[in-house]
Amino acid sequence: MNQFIPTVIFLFAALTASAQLGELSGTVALPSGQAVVGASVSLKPGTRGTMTNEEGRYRLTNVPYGDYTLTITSVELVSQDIKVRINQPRTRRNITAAAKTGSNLDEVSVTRKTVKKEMEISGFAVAVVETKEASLRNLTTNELLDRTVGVRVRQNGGIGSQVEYNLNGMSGSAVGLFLDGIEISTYGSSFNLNNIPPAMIERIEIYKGVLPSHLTGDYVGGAINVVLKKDASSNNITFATSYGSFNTFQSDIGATFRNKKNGFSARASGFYTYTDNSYEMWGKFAKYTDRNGILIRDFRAKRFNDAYKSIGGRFEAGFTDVKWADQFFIGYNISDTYNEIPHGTTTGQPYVGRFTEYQAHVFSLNYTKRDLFVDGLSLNINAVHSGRSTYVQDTVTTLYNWDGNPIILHTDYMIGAGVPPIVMKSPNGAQQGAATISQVDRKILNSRSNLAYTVIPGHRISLNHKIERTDRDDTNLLRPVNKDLITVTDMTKNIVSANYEAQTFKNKLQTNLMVKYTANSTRQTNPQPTYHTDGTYELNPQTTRSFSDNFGYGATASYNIIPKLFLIASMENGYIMPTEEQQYGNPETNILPNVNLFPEQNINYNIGFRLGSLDFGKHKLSLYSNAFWRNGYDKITRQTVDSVVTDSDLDIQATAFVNLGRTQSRGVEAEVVYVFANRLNALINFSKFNALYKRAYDESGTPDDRYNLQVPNEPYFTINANVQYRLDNLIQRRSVMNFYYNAGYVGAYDIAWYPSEGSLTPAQLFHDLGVSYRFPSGKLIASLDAKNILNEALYDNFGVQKPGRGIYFKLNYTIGKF
Amino acid sequence: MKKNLLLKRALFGAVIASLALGSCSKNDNPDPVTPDPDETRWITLTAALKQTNDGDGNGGTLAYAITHDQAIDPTYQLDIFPAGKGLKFDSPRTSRIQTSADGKYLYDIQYTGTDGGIFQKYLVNGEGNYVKEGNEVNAAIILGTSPRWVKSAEGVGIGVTISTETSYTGTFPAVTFESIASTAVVASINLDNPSIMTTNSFAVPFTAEQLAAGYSIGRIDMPIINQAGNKVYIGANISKINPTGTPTQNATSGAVSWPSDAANIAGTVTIVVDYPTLRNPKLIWSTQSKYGNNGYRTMIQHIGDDGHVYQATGVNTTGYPHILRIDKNTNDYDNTYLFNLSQALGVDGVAGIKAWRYLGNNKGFVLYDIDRTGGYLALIDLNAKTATKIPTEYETQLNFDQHQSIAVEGDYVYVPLTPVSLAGNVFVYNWKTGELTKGAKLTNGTGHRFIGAY
Repeated sequence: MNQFIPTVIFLFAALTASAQLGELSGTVALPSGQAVVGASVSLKPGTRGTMTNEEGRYRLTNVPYGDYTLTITSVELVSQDIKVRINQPRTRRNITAAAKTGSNLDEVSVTRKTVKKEMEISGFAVAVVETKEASLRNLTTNELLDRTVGVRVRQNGGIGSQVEYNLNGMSGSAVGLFLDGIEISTYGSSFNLNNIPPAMIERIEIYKGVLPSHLTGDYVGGAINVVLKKDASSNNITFATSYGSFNTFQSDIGATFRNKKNGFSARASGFYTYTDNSYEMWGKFAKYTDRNGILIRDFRAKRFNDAYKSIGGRFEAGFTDVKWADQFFIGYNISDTYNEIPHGTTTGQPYVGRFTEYQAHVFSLNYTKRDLFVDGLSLNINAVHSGRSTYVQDTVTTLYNWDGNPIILHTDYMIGAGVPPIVMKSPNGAQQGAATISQVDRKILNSRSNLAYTVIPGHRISLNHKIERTDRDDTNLLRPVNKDLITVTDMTKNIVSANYEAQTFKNKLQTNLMVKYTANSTRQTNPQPTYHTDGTYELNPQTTRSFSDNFGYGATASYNIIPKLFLIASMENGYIMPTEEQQYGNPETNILPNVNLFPEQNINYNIGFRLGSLDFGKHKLSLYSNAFWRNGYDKITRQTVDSVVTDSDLDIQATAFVNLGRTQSRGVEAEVVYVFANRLNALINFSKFNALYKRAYDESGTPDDRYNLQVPNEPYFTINANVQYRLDNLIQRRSVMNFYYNAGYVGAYDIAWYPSEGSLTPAQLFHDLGVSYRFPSGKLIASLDAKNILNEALYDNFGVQKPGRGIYFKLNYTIGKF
Repeated sequence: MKKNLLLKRALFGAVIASLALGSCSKNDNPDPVTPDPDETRWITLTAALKQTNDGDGNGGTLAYAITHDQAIDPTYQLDIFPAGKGLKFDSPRTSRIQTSADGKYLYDIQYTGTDGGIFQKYLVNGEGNYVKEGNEVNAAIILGTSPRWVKSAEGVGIGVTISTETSYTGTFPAVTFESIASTAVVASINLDNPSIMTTNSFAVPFTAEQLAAGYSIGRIDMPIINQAGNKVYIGANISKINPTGTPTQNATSGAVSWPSDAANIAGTVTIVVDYPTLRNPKLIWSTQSKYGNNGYRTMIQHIGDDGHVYQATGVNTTGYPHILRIDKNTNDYDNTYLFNLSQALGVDGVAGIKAWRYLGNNKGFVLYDIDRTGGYLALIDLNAKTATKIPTEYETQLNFDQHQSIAVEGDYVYVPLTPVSLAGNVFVYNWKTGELTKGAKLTNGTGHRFIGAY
């Protein structure tokens, strides 16, 4: 049987030799999975040959049926010959080639456009973060993002605490967070940038302002798209574990498997994170109340009730590079997080016993096919169905001090009058507001499809559709509510977008025109019960539907003026609908509802350039700069501090989102990278902008005196610098040692419109050091990182201090090729 | 160190001043030396800053102190809004600011925000010069981060809060009402040496019949210590539900509630506790009025020259026209007494008292609105039960919802009046002569307004 088929095919091929032509295609990759760009691929006998493209793909057409030798050569690779037989219209052969060992590559300059480079000169204001280096160190994904030009990660405490991403002054719902193009919120709070280890990530794309069509949504501030590792070209297992300050323990494991014969591939990865976040606070908002009720500030205290535990796994199985699909994967993502909440919006009062639990089960389907039916037509579908739940519990009534003990009042007067001491109970019932045990279950369907067609080389049109539907079910477990009587709201969001990409003027000009149509439909069912005297009721459900839609458009352009100098520009005019969370509130993140929110409109412009990398012998230099002009109308922003309805006795430390009239943000960001002899790598970037309040006149037509003032609570000036130095063969032969230094600076900013003594967040500067060592086998890498080495008091929000000095140790181990 | 120096300077100034005064009594010649700044009666003016919406007052409070001469000078123009000119209270919302009788100290408990519920004391040195003095006190542990408190007597602040819990039998909607338990918490604060004195929590002593009838108290405020210094009277927003009405359930909190039955409330209620123990709670009921008397921002209970407490009515931002009297001998309502501002003014509609201050000789100075609009001034006589409107040019544009304090020094009453976003003036009223001076001009900023004089 085994011999029969080839024989028949051979006979068949021989009979039809003159007419039978086949196509040979595939990819060339390193064992790590990284695509090899510009490798030469030749077929012998004959003179057919080609080069691999930016994705490491090659294709040879009109190859007569027969037996050949395929030769792969590249400055990066050990040359390789592979026997192939062409006996069918399409033959695929993916090649994993060994890299030439280190030193001789340093001497050769290779011109190739990596995915990073390709994206960065596409016209979008985009920064691409590669996580390869970081995954070997004690760095979280958030820390990595925070170092990126124009990105400010604002975190309300240590690992696991609430995070907000600020892209050059745009934040909140204006910024989209995606995981492989699907909103990361779909995966639940248990699988987010707090705990996804860099090792699971291929790269992170940060688009500022204008978004490409594969990330369309209600986001005009930009988006962060986390692209998870896709590679399954080789069989390997990686394992990493780290331990450090504040009892922080992090581990991740990843495995990939591919059957070369039938293309069956599987990937599995998992992570575990645990931390006590037991770092010290000592600033003016670290308070202690003595027995006379007297407040002591600058109280040095270890944080408690701040443990964070997260465990998750991602399993995918499918086929790569088979006839009917370039990629077809079915995945299951499970994650579970336990998170203690140590305080409210401020650190004024520690919480004890308030915690949340998140769980998510996510099923995903990913299908990619190029040259579907006809050449140049490609289809990409990414669909996710998620069931996620959030549980919040807060039932402890005793008030605590930051020393970890209950607050006890025994004043001088009480002692004199013989009154016994009083253990203070929360005036609100529990730690934050009334006692709560609640659960929110969400079922989310989120799907994105992209159909693209290359009309003629250099001209591509694509059509995008995205649908998102959320069902939310709240359960009050402390005081059950009859759900028959609850008003239920369902929201469905459809976005259709189209774009046209063109490369003209000898490929010097790249343009991209985009249009976007967004439609939101809401269905609200009010049960309208009628009660009878005997306590029974009947329902007369009334369903109301609402629909809102809007159009947006945008464009990008990139012009290659002289070699290595690209001028890039983009613009967009779009709307953002308020999110479910902004409208209906979210207890676990201290967000109050504001149902009166309306969409905000944004008009954004970016213009900048990229230069490099310029080569001066051993010195390499690249420059990037971008100026941006953002206009927000009815901007949705978090209110500076809590504000509750005047006539209510509510007193919860929470904030609401409001439409803050018109705003404008203008600024500039820049980055310089300097490389010396592949040993020294230095980078410095900064972002500075003015976010201005733009309501010129009040309702009576009088000029508004806040016109053109800086909007409070926006860190508007940040600088990041890092240096990496590599030493080979330092301790052992063939070992590699890397030293790292990183510094971050955030300029002072006020949290309130009108300055006062306590409202200024001071300027902050911090330094991190790190070292990593790769053992000669290349399988084991150890790294040591010291963060915030000068133990500076760092703040992001409302005087919530972030961790001080911390030391972390990590080991990475790779088992390749089995 | 700096604080000590200031204290020394203050003490030294006081000694000099008393010597100077002592010599004055013997010698009628005016003192040629310029008066020591410590002897100046500074009038602190406060303005509420806008946060999001014009007039919301949620952007915090600014304070700036001027002299009497500046207050009555129409050519004196004051702009307190430039950053750094006045004192900005850290509190994000208009915090409750109180003052010592001589205007030398401001006492503040921040309302919400990073330091919500934190008590702070400031020495008034004139203009924008305020110096934090003494301990900060964490009142939040008893009163929460948005506390209701006032200065209840010189040197004593009292803060109050209350919560209710409805009990019923059965499962919604087949439920039967039992009662609403109202639990009050009271705390006293020593203002001279800032610290908490004592606190007490108690069930509001409604009778079993009153509880079954659906009585409860949802908000309390305006505690005052009586003349004898042995009782505290606390204003209460008395409410009543109809236990036989159809209940409803809040879909989020699961709380079951019954419809209001305000029309059948028996009378105005005040909670009386012993001072300084804050124990032995009693309820006293007025038969003269049915309004709540917890007020909103400005103290509405004052001790008259006769030693009785005069208590105005008003619930949150809704002012009511009644003033009641609590007898100093019985510590109970004098149920023969009622002052009705609507009647005294002879206006159609409800003249709602938003703020008032007792002046002496049974006279009072009242800030009021009519049917919840406008902002008007009047001089009232509590004995003669008469009222004289004091017209101002801004009265139809004003809103006293946020108003906090009326300053009185000798014969003069000081009120800063600015419509939201618009300029205004300090009005100085000589309550003995009835002369109104439109004094210092107040510059305003978009969305802001002046809310008090101290």
